[in-house]
This record gives sequence, structure tokens and C-alpha cells, in this order.
Amino acid sequence: MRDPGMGERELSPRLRAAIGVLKESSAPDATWRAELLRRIDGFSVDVIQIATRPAPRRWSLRPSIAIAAGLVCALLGAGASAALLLSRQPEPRVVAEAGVLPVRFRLVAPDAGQVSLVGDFNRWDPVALPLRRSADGRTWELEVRLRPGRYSYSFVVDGRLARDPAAPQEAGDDYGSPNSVLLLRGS
Amino acid sequence: MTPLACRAMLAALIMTVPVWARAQQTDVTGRPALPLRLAPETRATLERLIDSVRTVGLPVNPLFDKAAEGVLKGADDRRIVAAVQSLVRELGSARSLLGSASNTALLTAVASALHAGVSPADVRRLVASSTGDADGHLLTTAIVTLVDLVAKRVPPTAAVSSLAELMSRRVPESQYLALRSEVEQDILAGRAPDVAIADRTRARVRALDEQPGAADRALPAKRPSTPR
Repeated sequence: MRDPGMGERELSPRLRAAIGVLKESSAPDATWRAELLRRIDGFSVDVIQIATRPAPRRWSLRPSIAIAAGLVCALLGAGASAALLLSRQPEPRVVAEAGVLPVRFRLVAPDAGQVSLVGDFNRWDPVALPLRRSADGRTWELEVRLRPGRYSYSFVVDGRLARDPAAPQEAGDDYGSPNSVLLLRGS
Repeated sequence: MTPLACRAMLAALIMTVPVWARAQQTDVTGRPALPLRLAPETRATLERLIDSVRTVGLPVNPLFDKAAEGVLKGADDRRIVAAVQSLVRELGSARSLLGSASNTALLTAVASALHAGVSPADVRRLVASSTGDADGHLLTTAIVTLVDLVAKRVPPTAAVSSLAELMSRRVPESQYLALRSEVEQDILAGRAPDVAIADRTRARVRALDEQPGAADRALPAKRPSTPR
């Protein structure tokens, strides 16, 4: 089937001008119109009728499908925003939390390039608590705020675990390298 | 495998676990979660175990910590499950020894002592000498010191005798730390661990007795509670 839009586009400029006249006439007589059209370029009346008839509006999608797709997009967007909000790390607390005490960890390791702290307080995450080299260049330090309790911990010095020589040792290690123990009393 | 190769593997593992470790802190509900590195069947086993522990009212956070520690240290799944199971048993024994009112710090300290080879009888002896210690902090300190001394090859019974002596005198926390440090120095200097702890305790008790008001501090190991 021939596309009506295509048909109109293929018409010669004269015919398009005639069609324009036909469209603008308020109540054109059908005979007059057919005669006029026959005189122009010999196009068939069928084509002209198609061209003069207002083309039905065409949708790239059915309206119901478009609305449904819009709703799905909105829902997906809302879900993604909610997931993003939930996955955000909590903001650092500015006000002092009740019952939390500052604890300073210190290790003398002049030759170390990197020192971090792992333990029960950070689920043994080797990147969460890096120590900073102090001004003397030999000591590594970090202050951590902890709740009272008993914690097993260790230092990671250039990728190797090292016990805190200043703290009690935890015996009977399950994994081959002993930990240190911190006991923190509530104020 | 040579010790050097073991160390290299451990170092490589520690360098590569951060991604796993960071993702394993908590689940979407904020509850502690098991490390992602564990195989699904291992996680299922541990989750069942942890659920059962939660049901009986024992603390579960130390179990998550134990699993996370195993992942950091490169232990295989079987070893991690064994370590967590062992801790569950020891926490249960600690609860039996201490009663249901004990706090998590004390429970985990006693569990650690049992794991180190201290007998339940020795733990009971230490608990019995802890009078006037309302929050259990001094008892926890004594048990942490005990575990450290045992790790330094001091016989558990000798260490318990010394610590019970200090506890009955209600000495402050600093005294336990000082005793630990002195015994460590003696052992490093070549003294036998049992001799070192006995001598250092005697010297410390003598010093305490010479202080004014020592008679008021020294109390019998167990006092009957008197109603007000």
C-alpha cells in the first residue's frame, strides 16, 4: 500500500500548489476539483484524494504503551535513587557520641612505608584505618573512637601483620598470627 | 611450602582483600554480614550457626569478627568454619561459668582464656576472687592478663594464683599491666616463666602491704552479700 505522505512528497511543485488551493477552498465543488486535478500532470484522482484527505495521525508507540513505559521509567528512577541513598556511607558524626572514647594507637616502625590498623572494631578491613607517620618519622599514630569493650586487633605493616608490642597478646590464635587485645572501660 | 612463600602469599592476600573486606561490613539492613569471599555453602553453614547462637542469647558480633579475621589472614573456608565453631563452644562455656548477666567483653575474654588452655576450674577461681567489681572490668582485665601470661608460657594455674591474689586486694588496672610487663621482661632475660610470675607477684604484694591503708583494701576472696 502506498504511503500517503510519500505520495504527496513525490508530487510536482505545480500539483502541490494546486493541492494547496484545494485545501484552502472552503467548500470546493467535487466535479470542479476532479476536473482541475485531471488537468494537472495526469495524476490519478485516487492519489490526489489521498493527498487532500487529512492524514491520520500516526504514533510511534500506542499511547497506552507510552504511558506504561513512562511509569516503568519513573519507578526505576525512584528505585535507583532509593538504592543510592541507602548505599551511602553514614556521614561522619560531628558531635561526640555518648559512651565513645578516643584511643590512640601507636607503633614504632621507622622503615615502614605503610601502616594500618585491623581489628574487631573495623571488621578486619586493612584499608579502613591507615596510621599517619608522626613528626619524628619513626612512629605511626592513629586516634580511633571506640565504645567500651574488648577488641582483638593487629597492625598491617607493608602488607604483613604485626602485633602491638605494647598490648597484651591473645593466645591460642586460630589463623597462625597472634593478635593484641585492647580492653576499654566505659567512663 | 617454604616460610618465605607463606609470607609472600599472606602479604599478597592482605593487599588484595580490601575490596572484599570493604564490601563485607554490613548488609543493606545495617546488620553485620559475613565476608563475601566465603563460598556460598560456607556462608550458609555460618549463617545457620550464627542464627542458633542468636537464639540462645549469646553475642554474635564476635563470630562475624572471627570470620572476617580469617579472611584477612588468608585462612581457607574449612578453617574459618572450625574457628567460628570453636568460638561458639567457648562462648557457651563462658556463659555457663559466668552466668547470664555477664557482658560481651567479659564473655569473649573468658572464651579466649578457655581457648588458650585455661581450665574452667581456674576461671571459676578467678571469678570467685573478683569481689567489689561491679561492672566486671577488673575481672576482664585479670583474664586478659592471664591469657597474655599463658601465651608467654606461664603455667595457667600459677598465673591464676597470682592474679587471684591481686584481685582479692582490689588493685587497680595498672597493677595488672605492670605485672604483665615485668614478667615479660624477666622471661626475655631468661628466667623461667613460673618463677618469674611467682617472684614478681610476691614483690608486688609486699609493696602493696607496705602502703598505708593496705589492711582496708585486702578483703577475703568471697564476702556474703548483706541486704541493705
